[in-house]
Amino acid sequence: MTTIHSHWINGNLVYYQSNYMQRWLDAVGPAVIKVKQEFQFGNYAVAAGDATGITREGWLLTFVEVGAGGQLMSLVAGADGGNLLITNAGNEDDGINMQVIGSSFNLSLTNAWPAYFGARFQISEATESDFVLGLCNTDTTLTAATEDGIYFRKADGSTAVSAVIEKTHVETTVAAWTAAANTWVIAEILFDGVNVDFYVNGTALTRQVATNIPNTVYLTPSFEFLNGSAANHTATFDWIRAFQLQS
Amino acid sequence: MTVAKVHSKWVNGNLVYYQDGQEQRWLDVVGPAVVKVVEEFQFGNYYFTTTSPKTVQGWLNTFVEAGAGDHVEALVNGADGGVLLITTAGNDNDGVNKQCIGEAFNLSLTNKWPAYFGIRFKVSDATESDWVAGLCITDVTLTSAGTTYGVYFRSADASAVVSAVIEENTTETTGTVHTMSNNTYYIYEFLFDGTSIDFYVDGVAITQLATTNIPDTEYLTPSFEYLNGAAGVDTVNIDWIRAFQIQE
Repeated sequence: MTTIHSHWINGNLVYYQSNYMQRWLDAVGPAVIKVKQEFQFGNYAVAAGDATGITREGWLLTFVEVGAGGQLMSLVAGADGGNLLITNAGNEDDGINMQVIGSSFNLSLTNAWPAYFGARFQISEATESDFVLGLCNTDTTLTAATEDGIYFRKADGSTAVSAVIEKTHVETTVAAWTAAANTWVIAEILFDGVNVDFYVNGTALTRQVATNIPNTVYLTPSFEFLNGSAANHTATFDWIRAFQLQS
Repeated sequence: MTVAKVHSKWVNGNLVYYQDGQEQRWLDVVGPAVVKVVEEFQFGNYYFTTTSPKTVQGWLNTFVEAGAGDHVEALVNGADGGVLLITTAGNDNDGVNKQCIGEAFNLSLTNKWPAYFGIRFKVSDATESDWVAGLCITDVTLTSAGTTYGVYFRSADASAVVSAVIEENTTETTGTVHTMSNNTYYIYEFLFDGTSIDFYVDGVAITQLATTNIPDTEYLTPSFEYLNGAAGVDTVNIDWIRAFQIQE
């Protein structure tokens, strides 16, 4: 059985996963923005004592590592499909902010360039953790202060994950899923040029109004993960993929 | 109805994607033995100001920065399509040589492996600048000392005229292709079909030079060098560099 299909979007060729038309696997065109991180190969290693502000495979990494253990990151040897393991230092609010260097995603409603962001990931602590995952403005403290983006967010003290559309701090949100420890989730966002749709494990959430689409700031693939309690919590990624068709 | 912006065709049994209306402009290639360099300058750590030579994202960067200011390169945040901004230091002949590490392009006339090179870029000073862009032998002084093997575009200082060059062992075949303007993006491309080399500027075929001097005895690599032609800080913006060869 075919596991991939293709279709034309604005004259560009987009490959998507069978039965999941929103899940872009690749795109070919004259002006395609493309970030594909399968976490299979490369030097993603972060060791205790590495300074905050270092870069790995095109990502800028900003750490808070007050607690025991230091911030760690590495590929998982022998994981099918490739995995990236992130292990935070041991204090509450220790953790990592990671953003792809170079902001190229433009959600202008005039250009109306379709875009996709998706990630398959899991976290070790469902309640006492904070994260932001999606396309955001450049910001090294995403959970505390991002102001423009389309993303998923969870605050500590709760397992509720929200889907957020935010422009200059004004948000539209909808409930996304209830976090569970050590459970894979595929979180996806599709901008069709007019609206933003969020998907969780392949199922679309209720569409939000487009009022707060961040159409005046360039965005970049982003993830921040902080402990919500004093412990070495982990996050594991299978893949992160993002595309935009800019013609 | 939206017209397809990308098409595909078979070249020696390999699948080549190309831009609508620009059959020479290869966007991607799929096959069992494809040499591929695609630099869209959208993401990645291209930033550097440190001592020459510096390797970033698979490119060896050799720079000269005798004049005021440091040689600086960085992605431009918030540029549609992604752009690399190069800012030279301030002396005449300050600038940068950039080559992909690893020579893998082979223009052998026996193998006849089709190859493509393309670049979209602009310069702040079209007249007082020297630059080379194309496939060249490994050489950290492509313009000043002169590369010895390659297929490339070239402009020398004191002139904004751009030439296409086919060079083997310092013997050249050249042809004028156009005149550059300051701060204006151009797309320079050439296509080797296994026998001939066609040169294009902004999607228009300009010339097919005689292949007498095709560098078929040395491996080549995607290369770019830019040097100031006068004292002053120049800038170069590169939107993309793409190079492919079908080696089977």
